[in-house]
Amino acid sequence: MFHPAGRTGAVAATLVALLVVAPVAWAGSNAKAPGPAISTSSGRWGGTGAVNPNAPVTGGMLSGSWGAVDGTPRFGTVTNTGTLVLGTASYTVTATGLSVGSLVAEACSGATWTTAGAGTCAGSTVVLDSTATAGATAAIAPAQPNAVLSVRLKPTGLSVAFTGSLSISVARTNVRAATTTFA
Amino acid sequence: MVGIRPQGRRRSVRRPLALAAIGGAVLVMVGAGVWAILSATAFNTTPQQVTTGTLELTMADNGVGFSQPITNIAPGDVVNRYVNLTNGGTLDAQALTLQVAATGSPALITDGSGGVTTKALHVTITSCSGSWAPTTGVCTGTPAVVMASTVLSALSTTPVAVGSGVFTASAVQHLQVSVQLPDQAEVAINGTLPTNTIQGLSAFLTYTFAEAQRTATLTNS
Repeated sequence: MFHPAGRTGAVAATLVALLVVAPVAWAGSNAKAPGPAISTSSGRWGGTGAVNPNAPVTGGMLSGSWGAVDGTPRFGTVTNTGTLVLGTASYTVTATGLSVGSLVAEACSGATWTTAGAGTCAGSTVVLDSTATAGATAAIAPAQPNAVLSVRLKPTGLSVAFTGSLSISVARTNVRAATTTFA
Repeated sequence: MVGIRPQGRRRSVRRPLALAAIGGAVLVMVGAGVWAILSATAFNTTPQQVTTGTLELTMADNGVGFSQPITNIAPGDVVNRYVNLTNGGTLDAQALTLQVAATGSPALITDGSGGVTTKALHVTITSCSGSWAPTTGVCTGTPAVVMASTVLSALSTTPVAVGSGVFTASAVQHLQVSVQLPDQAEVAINGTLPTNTIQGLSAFLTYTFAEAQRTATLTNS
């Protein structure tokens, strides 16, 4: 009675209709409660050094060049450039061309180095590192974000020209401990 | 002769029709009387009412909830936020799930996205049989972890079950949502962040809880 093509078309139409109806037949009720988008941002940590305006700055390090028989110290700052509180930081003094003597980095805790002559510290002096030693982690750092620590690079017993620098590195372990907050 | 034949032909056509009409009328009248039966019906005088249940899920902040951003999170930090979910419909529910749509910095969403060592944000959900004090994290009842620590990328692709069992109509789920940035080591040298850092990043999270209706039932009563 049916033309073969017509029968095939009818069967296909029926299957399509069933496919359309099937999801409805199997669908249950669901309810959702979406919330607003909440932003989550991570903090950052780091410390950068800068010398006073009359001395060169290289790559965020506190650095300087000294001529022969030049014992003039260089003064600068270490700034907490992160957003997290620092407890400590690692300081490394390096020198190129230094064959005798040593270069020492010192912080002035609680005050600022005066820059006249060899400089004086009204607070307490803390040795950060020295070429005579291998890098150190000092228990002193500019704690709060944007806080500044006054430092001095001082050559001792030198008679040759050299360049030196103070590098600052901050690891997760130097940052405040992890916290659990409730709100 | 020619004028008489048409009259006779007209009479022969009307007669069968008239006989058929008369016969049909007789059959209708007589037949109805012969085949008529008695019948009776019964119906409820008050219409039976059939109503469908409702399934409604709402979320409210307990404390600041999801209304305030989480800022300055450091590796190892855990930030707890609290929300209450109410199954406000008339039907019991089941299969409570959570899906989190996350956009922003990939390193906060997927492990190893920023570098092989970066660890993304994880979410843990703990339910309290009583209520949570949002500022102290104290549960007045019994706390139970209903969704173990799960990385954001897993939560964004597929809804994850939040507990099991029936979520009774009108009941409230008191949830603690813990967001943690796993501990990880990075060193910033001279103020320069390392490549593929986890620091200074942002992600935007939209939490969607969902529930399904209870299992269909067959009732006899």
